[in-house]
Amino acid sequence: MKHGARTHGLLAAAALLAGCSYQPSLQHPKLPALVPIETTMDCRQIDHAIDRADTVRWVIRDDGGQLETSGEKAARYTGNFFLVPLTMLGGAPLYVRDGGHAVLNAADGRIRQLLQLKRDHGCPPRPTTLPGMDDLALLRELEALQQQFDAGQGDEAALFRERTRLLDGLRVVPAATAAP
Amino acid sequence: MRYGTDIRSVLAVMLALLSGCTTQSYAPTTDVGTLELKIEAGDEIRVVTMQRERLSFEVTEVRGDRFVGVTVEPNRKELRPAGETVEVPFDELAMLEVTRFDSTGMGLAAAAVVVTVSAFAVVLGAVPVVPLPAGP
Repeated sequence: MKHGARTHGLLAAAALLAGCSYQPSLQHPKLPALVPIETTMDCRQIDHAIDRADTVRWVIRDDGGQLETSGEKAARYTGNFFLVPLTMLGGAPLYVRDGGHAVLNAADGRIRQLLQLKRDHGCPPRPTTLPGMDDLALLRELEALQQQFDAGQGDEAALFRERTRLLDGLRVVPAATAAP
Repeated sequence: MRYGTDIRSVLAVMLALLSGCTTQSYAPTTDVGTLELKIEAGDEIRVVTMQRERLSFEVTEVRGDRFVGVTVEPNRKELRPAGETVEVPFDELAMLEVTRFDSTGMGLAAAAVVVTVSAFAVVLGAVPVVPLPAGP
């Protein structure tokens, strides 16, 4: 019990630090899931939509956005349970934010859906910055990760790290402005 | 009468505190979607292009397929100096943030303040905030 409380405390501190490293330079929009009309896009339009979503995702990552595991989320909620009332007494309520998880997760989801649409339409693959991997091969890796995640297999943090690494490398961009 | 003056003062302060400006961020997916944002000449917007360039500018003209404007004082992570003329095709736009006066929101907020303060005034037995029409 004591050990659990300590772990929770450490996770709350980690969540707080993660929240600090996330500093949006402008408001990050939450990208929507694909809507039926978008499934009629041709290959050029799909690639364009992928690049758009990838740019939004890059901004979130460049501003420090990270995915949050369920443990970190629980710790954040616990921390906020105490932090909000305490700071409210001082007149300025504070709370630990999700470190960009919600917007990043939405961007990741939209990109995955667009890549699936691209594969379903038989569009030609494009190179990524990851050695020996095009975007459709990257999709296969993403789907394998998602399957593990949905089945509750593997370490959630490790799965998120791998997903982030893959998607950070999706688009070939000039080195000077590469994702963090 | 004194309560009425006090309440009017509170009302004025609350309305002043409620800023009518709102900042909204968008990720339009089509040119039509960008046009539907109703960005106009004079609006100051911040955008991120698909080349991953961030810039803030005041819109001077909205064409059918692009924004034309002049850059303003750069925000964090923006590289272009103020005073440059820029053209941003809608096709190149990944994100857009605009700050503008929100008359609808302001109206609703004002109505909420009037109703709340009036309710307090009624409960406290003060004079009505909104002057009543004179009787016949």
